Amino acid sequence: MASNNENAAYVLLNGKPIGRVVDPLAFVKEVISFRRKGLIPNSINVAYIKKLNEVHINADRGRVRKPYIVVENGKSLLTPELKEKLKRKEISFNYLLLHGIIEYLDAEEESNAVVALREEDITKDTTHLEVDGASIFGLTMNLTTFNEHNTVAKHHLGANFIKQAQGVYALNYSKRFDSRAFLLYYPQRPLIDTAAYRKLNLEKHASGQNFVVALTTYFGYNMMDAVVLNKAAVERGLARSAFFKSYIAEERRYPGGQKERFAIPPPTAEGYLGESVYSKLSDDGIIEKEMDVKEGEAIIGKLSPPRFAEEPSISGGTPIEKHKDSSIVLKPNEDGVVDEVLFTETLSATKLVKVRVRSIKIPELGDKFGSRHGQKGVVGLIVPQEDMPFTKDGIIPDMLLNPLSLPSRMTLSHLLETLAGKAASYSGRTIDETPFTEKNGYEKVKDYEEILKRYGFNDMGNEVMYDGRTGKPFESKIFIGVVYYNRLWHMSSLKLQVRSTGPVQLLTRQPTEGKPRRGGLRFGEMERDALVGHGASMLLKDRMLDQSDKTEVWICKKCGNLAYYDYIKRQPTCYIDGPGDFVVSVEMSYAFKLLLEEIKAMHILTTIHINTE
Amino acid sequence: MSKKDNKYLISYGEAIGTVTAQSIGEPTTQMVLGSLHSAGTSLTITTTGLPRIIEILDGRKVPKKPSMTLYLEKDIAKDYDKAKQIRLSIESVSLEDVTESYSEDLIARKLKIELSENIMKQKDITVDSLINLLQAENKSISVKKIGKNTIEISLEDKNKKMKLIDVRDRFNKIMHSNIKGIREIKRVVIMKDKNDEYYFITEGSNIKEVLNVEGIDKNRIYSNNPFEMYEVYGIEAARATIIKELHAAILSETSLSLRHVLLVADTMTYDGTIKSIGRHGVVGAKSSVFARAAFEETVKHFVNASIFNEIDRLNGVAENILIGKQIKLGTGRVILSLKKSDLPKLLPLKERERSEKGKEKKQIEESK
Repeated sequence: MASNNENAAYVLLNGKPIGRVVDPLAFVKEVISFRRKGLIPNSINVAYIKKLNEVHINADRGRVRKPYIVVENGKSLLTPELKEKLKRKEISFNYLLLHGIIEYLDAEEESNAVVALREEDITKDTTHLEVDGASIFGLTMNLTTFNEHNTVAKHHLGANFIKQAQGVYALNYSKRFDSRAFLLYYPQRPLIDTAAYRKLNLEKHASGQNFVVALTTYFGYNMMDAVVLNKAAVERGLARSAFFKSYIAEERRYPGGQKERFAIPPPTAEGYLGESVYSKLSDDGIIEKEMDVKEGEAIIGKLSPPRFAEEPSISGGTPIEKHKDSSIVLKPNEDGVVDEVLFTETLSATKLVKVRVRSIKIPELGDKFGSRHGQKGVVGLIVPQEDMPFTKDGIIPDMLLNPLSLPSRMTLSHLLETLAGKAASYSGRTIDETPFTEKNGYEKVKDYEEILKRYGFNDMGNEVMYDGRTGKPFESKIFIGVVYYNRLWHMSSLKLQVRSTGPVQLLTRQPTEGKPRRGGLRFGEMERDALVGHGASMLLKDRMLDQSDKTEVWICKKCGNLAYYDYIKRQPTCYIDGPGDFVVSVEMSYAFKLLLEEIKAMHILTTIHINTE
Repeated sequence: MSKKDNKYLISYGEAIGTVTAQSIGEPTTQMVLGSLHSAGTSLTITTTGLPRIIEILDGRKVPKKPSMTLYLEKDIAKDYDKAKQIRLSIESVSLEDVTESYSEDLIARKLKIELSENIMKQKDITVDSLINLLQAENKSISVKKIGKNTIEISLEDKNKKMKLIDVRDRFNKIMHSNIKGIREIKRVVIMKDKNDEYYFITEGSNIKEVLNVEGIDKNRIYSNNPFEMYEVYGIEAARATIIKELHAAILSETSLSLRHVLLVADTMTYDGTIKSIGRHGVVGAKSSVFARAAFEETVKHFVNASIFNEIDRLNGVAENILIGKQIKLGTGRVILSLKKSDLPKLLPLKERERSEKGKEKKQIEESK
C-alpha cells in the first residue's frame, strides 16, 4: 500500500498520519468490508475526504454515531425474511449489527454515504437506508407530531414549549424539594402521539391537556396571538396547576464556637419584625404543615449570633447577648399553604430545614399557553361558558384561537392535529403520528374524514356554530377540533410588580431596580432626552428629583461649603464659619451631594455660590 | 405669506438641539441594520450611508473617498473632445501605468522599462517628454532611451553605498512617481448634465491644483471634503458643503427636514473652524464643567476645572438635571417679570377688594 507516488492519499488514524495509499477509495471499501464481516470492531469508522485527499480512520471516543441499514447493489440488506424473524423475536438488533446489516456511522463517514429515507427511494448509488424515517429528527423533535408538514423554525419553537410546560415533571414530586416546581392538576396524554413519545414513557409525565379549540375570533380579545378561555372549563380545572416553592435554612456555625439557632425571635432581637410576623411558628421556630401563609410572614424563625462580640457593660454586669433575627420571611406576592417540612442534617452536622410552600395557580389573564407546533399565546379574556359559541351537539370550546395566527406561520401541523384530535376523541382511540411514515398529508386527512363521517360529520371538521349570547348561528362554519396544549411557566402572577414608594439604594438614595427589590422602572437617559425635547421641565424635575433622591442640604453662604444642622443647639451650623443666618437650606439631588463629596475626596474643593434676591 | 411664515417659526424655549439629535439619531440606528445590502456594489465613487454620516459629523480631515465635481468653462462646456483633452491633464498617470514590462538589476542599480505604446498614445505622452518629466521629478537619476519604447533608468550611486533594500525602495518610488496630471486624482469620469454640459466627477480631490488647470470653470469647483473647501474657500463654503453632503447622505436612506441639518452645520462651524460632534469638538467646548464631565472623561474635566478655578453658572440642561433644578427650556424658560407689589392690581376686582381689606391674604405665586 505504501507508496512514494505524489498523488497517494495520506491515511490518518485518530488524526495522526500513519501512511499513504495509492487508491484511497478501494482502501476505504476494503476497511468497511472488513468491519461488516466482523474482522475489525464496528466502532471504527473510515472516510475518504476528497477535498484534502486524505483517508480518515476514527476509532477514538466522543464521536456521535447513528445506525443505518446497509444497502448493497440497490437492495436493502434487511430483507423481508429478516424482518419476519425480527418480529418473531428469533433474532435481535445485535444480530443485525454483528452480521453487518446495520452499522453505525459517524459524522465523517456519513458525509460519504448516500442515505435513502424510505425503501422505495433506493437507487443504484444508495449506500444506506434510514432505520426509520423519524430517526432524522432528534429526541426532542420526535415528541412533536406532523413534523414533515412544518417549517423548521416551528419545530424548534414547539420543542422548546414542551420544555417549558407545566406537567408531571417527576413522579416522586411529593418527596422532592425543588426550589421552584409546577405540577399540573389533571394531566392528560396527548390524543395524537409519536412512537418516540411512547418509547420514552412520557405518557406518565404528561405535560398538557387536550383542549377543544375553535378557530374563531372573539371581539378582538384573541388578536395578535392572544387566546380566549372558557371560564367554566377553567373552573372545572382546565390547565390548573400547583406551584411549589422551597425555602432552605441551616444552623450555620461561626468561628469562635458561635452557632445559629432555630427559634421564635424574642422582641429584643436585632431586626425584630413584630409579633404578627412570627405568630404562625411553632415552639421550635419552624412552621407546621398545612398552615396558610401570606406574604410578609415568617416560615422559619432563626437567630444569628451578634456580628461583634459584646463589650462588657460599664456597670459591670454580664453582657446581654443581642442576637440578630435572620428568619426567612415570604416575599411580596408569595403565599400559599405549607406543603411539607423536612428536618435533616448537612454533611458538617448542622441542622437543616426545608419548607415547601404550595399554591394553586388557576389560569388567569396573561398566562401563557402553547401547542406542540410553536403556536403560543397569552390569555386575553376568560369568557363565561354561556357567552361562548357552541355547536349543535352542545360542544363549547375550551379555547378560541384566532385564525390569523396560522397562515403566516405555515404551521399546517396545528390544523392537522385539530382534525386528527377530533377524529381521535370521537373514535375513542389515540392516533399514532410518527413523522415520515407511509402516508402523506392528503391521505391522512382522508383517513380522519372517514372516521368523522362515521360520527355524522361531513365537512372536514367545520361545523355550524351558534353565538352564545344571541343563540343565532354564525354566517360561516367554524373549524373546531382537539389540540394538545401545554401551560407554560410564564405566568402573570409570578411577574406582576407594583411600586408607589419603596426601598431606595443605600449609596445614592435613588429607587431600587428590579422585581426582587420592589424596584421601579428606570427613567433612563433616552427617556430624559424625550422630556427635554418636549420642553416638559416640571415633569422632568418631578421624575429626576421629586420622585427620586430629593434631599435638603445645608450650605454656608459665606464659604460655599456643605454645612449641617445642629440638633442640640437647634441651629444650622457651618464647619468653618459657625452658626448663623448665613447657613441656608438648599434642595438638591442626593446624587449631586454625593458627587460633591466624592470630588472632595479627590482633593478638589467645590464651593456653591448662592444667589438670593 | 405671513401665515406660512409663522408656520415655520419655532416657539420660544423649544429644545431644537435635542429634537435634532433625536431626528438624526433615530433613523441612523435603523440604517445600521439595513446597510449591508450595498456591500457588493463597488461602482460608487463616494461613501454613502452611515459611514458617510459618521465621517462628516466626526469632521475628519481626509474622508475615505474624496471626490470633486468640476465643470468646464462656459464656451467649451458642450465640447466633448475638449472635455476629453482636459481630462487627460487632470487624471494622474504614474510610470507604472504606462509600463508594459520591466526588469530591475539591483546590483547595477539599473531599471529597464518597456513602455506600452498603446497606453502612451491614449494618455498623450511621448517617450521624450516622459524622460524629461522623470528627470525633473526624481533626483539623482539618469534616464536613457535605449530602444523605440524602452528606457533605462540608472541611479547615481557611485560608491555603491546604498543597501539593496533601499535600491528596491527607490525603484518602487520611481515606478509610482506621477508623470502626468494631478497626483491625488486617481480617476476622472465625464458626465453630461441636463443642459448638455459636460462635467467631471473625480476620484480623489485636490482643489488647489485643479485651480491651475486651464479650461476648468473656477467658479464651479466643488469637493465633497468640507476641510478642503474650508482651506481654499473659507468657513462659509465649508458649512455649505457639510449641509449638502450630510443632507444627501441622510436623504439617501430616510427623510429629514433640512433645518436639522442646518443646525448641525451651524454648530460645527460657528466659531470659524470645523469642529466635530463629540468629545474633541462641540461637547468638549461646552462651558459647563458638569455637562462635560457627564459626557466623557469625568475625572479629567474635574481636575482641569480645579486647576483653572472654573465656575459653572448652571445655564445648560445637563447640569441643571444633575443638581435637581428645573431646566431652562420649554416650560422652564419663561419667567414672570412683574414686581411683587404690582401683582394685586392684576387680580379681578372682587378678589382685590378682599385682599385690600387685609383679612384674608391671598397667597400669590412668587416670581424670581
